[in-house]
Amino acid sequence: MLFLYVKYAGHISVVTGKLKEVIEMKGETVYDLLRELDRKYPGFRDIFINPEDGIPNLRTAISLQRSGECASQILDPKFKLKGGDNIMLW
Amino acid sequence: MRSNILPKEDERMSQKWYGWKGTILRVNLTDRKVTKQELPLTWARNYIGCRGLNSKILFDEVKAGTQALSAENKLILGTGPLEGTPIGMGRMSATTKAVNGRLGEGGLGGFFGPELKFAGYDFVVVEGKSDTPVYIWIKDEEVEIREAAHIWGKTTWETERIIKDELGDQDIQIRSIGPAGENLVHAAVLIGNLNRSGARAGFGEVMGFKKLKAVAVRGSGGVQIAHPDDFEETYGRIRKELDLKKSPDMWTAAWGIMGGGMLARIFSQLGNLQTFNAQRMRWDEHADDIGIEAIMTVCEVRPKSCFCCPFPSATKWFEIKEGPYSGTVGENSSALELFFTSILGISYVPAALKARSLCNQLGVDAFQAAYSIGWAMECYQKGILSKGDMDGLELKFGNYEAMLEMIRKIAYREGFGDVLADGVAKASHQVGKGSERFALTIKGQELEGMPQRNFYTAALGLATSEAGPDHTRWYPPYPCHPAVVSPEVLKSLNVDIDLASAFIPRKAEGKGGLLKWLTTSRAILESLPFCVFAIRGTLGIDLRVWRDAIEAGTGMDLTYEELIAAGDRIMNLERAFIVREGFRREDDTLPRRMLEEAVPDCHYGPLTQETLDGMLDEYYEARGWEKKTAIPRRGKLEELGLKEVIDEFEQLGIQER
Repeated sequence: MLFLYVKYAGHISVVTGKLKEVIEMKGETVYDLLRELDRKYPGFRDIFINPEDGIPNLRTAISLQRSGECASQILDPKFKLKGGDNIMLW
Repeated sequence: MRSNILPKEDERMSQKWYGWKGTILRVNLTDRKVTKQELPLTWARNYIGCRGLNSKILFDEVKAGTQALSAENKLILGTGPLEGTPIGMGRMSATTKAVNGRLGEGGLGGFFGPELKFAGYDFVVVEGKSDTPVYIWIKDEEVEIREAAHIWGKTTWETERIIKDELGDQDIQIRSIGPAGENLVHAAVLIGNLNRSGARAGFGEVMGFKKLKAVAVRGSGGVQIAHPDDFEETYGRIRKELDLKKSPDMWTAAWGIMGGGMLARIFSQLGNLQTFNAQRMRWDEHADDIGIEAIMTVCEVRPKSCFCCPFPSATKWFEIKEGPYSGTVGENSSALELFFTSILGISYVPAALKARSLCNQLGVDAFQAAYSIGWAMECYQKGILSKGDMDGLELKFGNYEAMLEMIRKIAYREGFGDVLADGVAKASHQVGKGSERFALTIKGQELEGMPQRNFYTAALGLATSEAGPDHTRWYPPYPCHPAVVSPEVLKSLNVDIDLASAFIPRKAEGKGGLLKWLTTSRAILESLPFCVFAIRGTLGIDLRVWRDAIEAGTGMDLTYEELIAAGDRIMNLERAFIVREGFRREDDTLPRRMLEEAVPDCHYGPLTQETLDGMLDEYYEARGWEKKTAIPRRGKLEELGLKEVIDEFEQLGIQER
């Protein structure tokens, strides 16, 4: 199980109704995280991934901050996450 | 593909102007004369309007060596051919010569630009100097210079109310200065619609010197469109890129719904948030307290947009509902309230909103106030300045009460406020003791919010801007995604940038070429005008839709190549303006903090002079400017038909080495 610190910015915070939370998930990729969030907030995954082709759309962004370093953007949904990662979605 | 674009001979398109009104209004404050000049068609074709044409008028009429604070300097308020249509979105340009010779150009939003078009004018050029305070009143073809002694000293909000009551019309559009402009405070701004501020590059100061308090306008006409059906179709294509659900841009929905205030938390996570006068670039412990999400919990907020803006929520009207600043109203647009938070170590957001409102009423530039006070706070932190030096105010990071009092002192040049009122570059030279190192200015102008050590495109853009640090001259500073436009399409458009490389923030290679495209395209868009904060998706990369918009709106058959050449011409003319004043490559630089200091909380180093030099070389090469001096080469000027610049350089002995 991975414990991730997930933050929601901009209009995504309106979708979730919160600024941040800790997510516990079984998978290890960004795609797995989106699937987990989709369970909590139905339709969430489709905000980030085109349902037709499973490819990340250009309308949203995901950034990762790890081990105290500054964040950088993730473009590949297969990117592997680690426990303790900070992810921001907008 | 290159083409030699030479100015065509003056000719009439038809008996009637479409888009443009074809009229420049000239108001002379010395002899109190008003004249109307026909807009030369050649100018419209080669510079489009708004910012581009403002720069043309300034270059031609305010010569090298003219003192900024003199009757010979001019104030130019400009609109463009698509102003007054949904594309123009109320944007306008205000241009003058700044006190240190910089190009004093800035954009503003709101509703003044369309009203000026409806009154029948593309430009207002103010010349001379009045002995007594005045304001200009434009009502269609009637233009008056009216006495303003009764509003001199009033805030911008009081000024709007008084003028509207006096003239008996609440729908008048007004641009005015506050006490800051009257007191010749450095970077004093022009304010309109209560909270639309702009023209921080010197306009407010010059207006105050000329004793011009305000310009008020009311128009009963409209804007004539050459091909309405085509215009509607083209506008539909533009709006598709701005659709909140479908726009191919990660910022469209975020910005359109929440506005720039959402940047606080994102920037902090990315290491882009200027904190404690940019000593740090993250403020994770307080980022949640200062963004728009926090503002919405302490204030009543409502959407408040400019003319025809597709993002009505990007700017929000607010009213603070509780606490010591309860009842304070204002607007937060872009992310200006950030400057009264992280830069100054203040996490109490109502105080930041109070500061924003105060700046707008007094006509103080929020950036200038924030970075001047931030510098003073760092001086206090380092023991360079004491409470006694600052009128007994404990200007330390986090002290918002002291911040608010100092903003007022800056506007009225009281005590230590008089020191800061001349700008932080001068203040730091006056105080010395190493404080110059963290006076965050470029070409004498205080920074804005764009990070530099972590974002090389922004760094290069700020360093080279002819108007001082002004991100609107290249905003947005990124392609929104490397896949937004294919390499094949870029090649067909003759856009020579590698999008994938451009997307890497701390990779220096390629940034020069990228900046050339960003500045050229934004020069075009700001001249239409179009709001840079709505440049999303492909709108800033594929300019064919804008060529179509110009033809549909005005009937002018500019080719795509001619459109790009117009942007290039504007950039070269603006560079020539500051070259004429003595600016050279060494002035295209960054604050020492950015070049020399690492960012410990973000694990990245300073940008370094060596890195900046590499990017400057690349940018000048792309521009066709001499690398050693940043002077536009003769061949480039000839290509663009800028004979007047060549002649003037020869007269002044300005030569390529």
